[in-house]
Amino acid sequence: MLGEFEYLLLTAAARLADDAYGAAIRQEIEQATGRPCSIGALYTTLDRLEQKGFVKTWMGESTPQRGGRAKRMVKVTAKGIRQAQAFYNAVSRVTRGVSWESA
Amino acid sequence: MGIGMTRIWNWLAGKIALLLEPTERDSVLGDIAENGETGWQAFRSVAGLAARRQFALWKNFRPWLAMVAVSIPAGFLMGSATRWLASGYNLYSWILWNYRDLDPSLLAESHMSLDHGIWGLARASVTLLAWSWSSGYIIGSLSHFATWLTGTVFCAFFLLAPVSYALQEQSAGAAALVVAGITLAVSFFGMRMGRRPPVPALVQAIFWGCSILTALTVYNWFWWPPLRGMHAILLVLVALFPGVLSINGLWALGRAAARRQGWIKQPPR
Repeated sequence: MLGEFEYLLLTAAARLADDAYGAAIRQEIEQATGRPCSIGALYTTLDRLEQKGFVKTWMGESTPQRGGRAKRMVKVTAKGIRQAQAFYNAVSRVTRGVSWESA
Repeated sequence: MGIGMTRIWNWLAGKIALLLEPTERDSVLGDIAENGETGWQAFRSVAGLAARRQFALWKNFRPWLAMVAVSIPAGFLMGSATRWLASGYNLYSWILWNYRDLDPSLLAESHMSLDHGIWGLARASVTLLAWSWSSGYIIGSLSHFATWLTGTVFCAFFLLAPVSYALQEQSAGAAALVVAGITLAVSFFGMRMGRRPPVPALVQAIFWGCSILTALTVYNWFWWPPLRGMHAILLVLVALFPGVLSINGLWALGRAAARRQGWIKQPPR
């Protein structure tokens, strides 16, 4: 079972598709959650997901905007998609019938 | 925040980033540049990741092996050797300076003739430098990105004897500090080379076992004049280096074999 942050990262990477890399995923998570996302948490979680076979990463192109430094590109694998689906289904099931709307 | 402080934080972030692997350093610094983070923010981002990586490194046995089996004992023993070598340099510089007033036969009788002393000092210096390079190499090859800490501990234990000697004896102490500085510089060079992994670990073990045994053959009385009983400890040190590298080499071979058999997963990167 995925952790909350792992799910966020997988979802952000899946949404960004071919444009998924470190900085873009970080921005996506920050916008979605409204909370800061540290580079340390992002990269260590990426490593963990890659070790589990849920994502594949490789060094991509560099841009002048990045000071000529390469991007770490991310692609969610089929195994990662199944894990994210399982997590989403579990959250949906457990939330069924519960309203979080404040009274 | 002033421009000066921002520059300092940026510089520190760049230095801390050296603790990361080159590809990761590249992507992280690129992300930071792209997000427009500078100064304290950039430093905090890099330092956070570097701290996590360092913490993960210490979950492996290798940096612990380097610390406990090499940095502390080798640092301490080689610091003591430096101290005695410096006292030898001090003694023979005094003999050279006052040679005209000394009786050569008296020097020969007390085993302090010039040729004996200079040859002995040269052999001891070469041996000490070989040992310091070997220690640095082993520390670097075992610790990799944790070398900054294992190396610092090595330096601290190494400097104990020369610094305490310098505080007691002014002229000989200054010589001890010079010898310690040169020896440590050679150790740092060894650490740098040890961080590159071109040679299989078991080959390193055999190579360094041989080099240390060679060093032992040129060992002479000058190293430990008042501490003959230290020979046993010295022999432990001699066995320590190849022992440490053998453990590391066997571990690496075992893991490689387990990967081939599919018992453990291939690392992703």
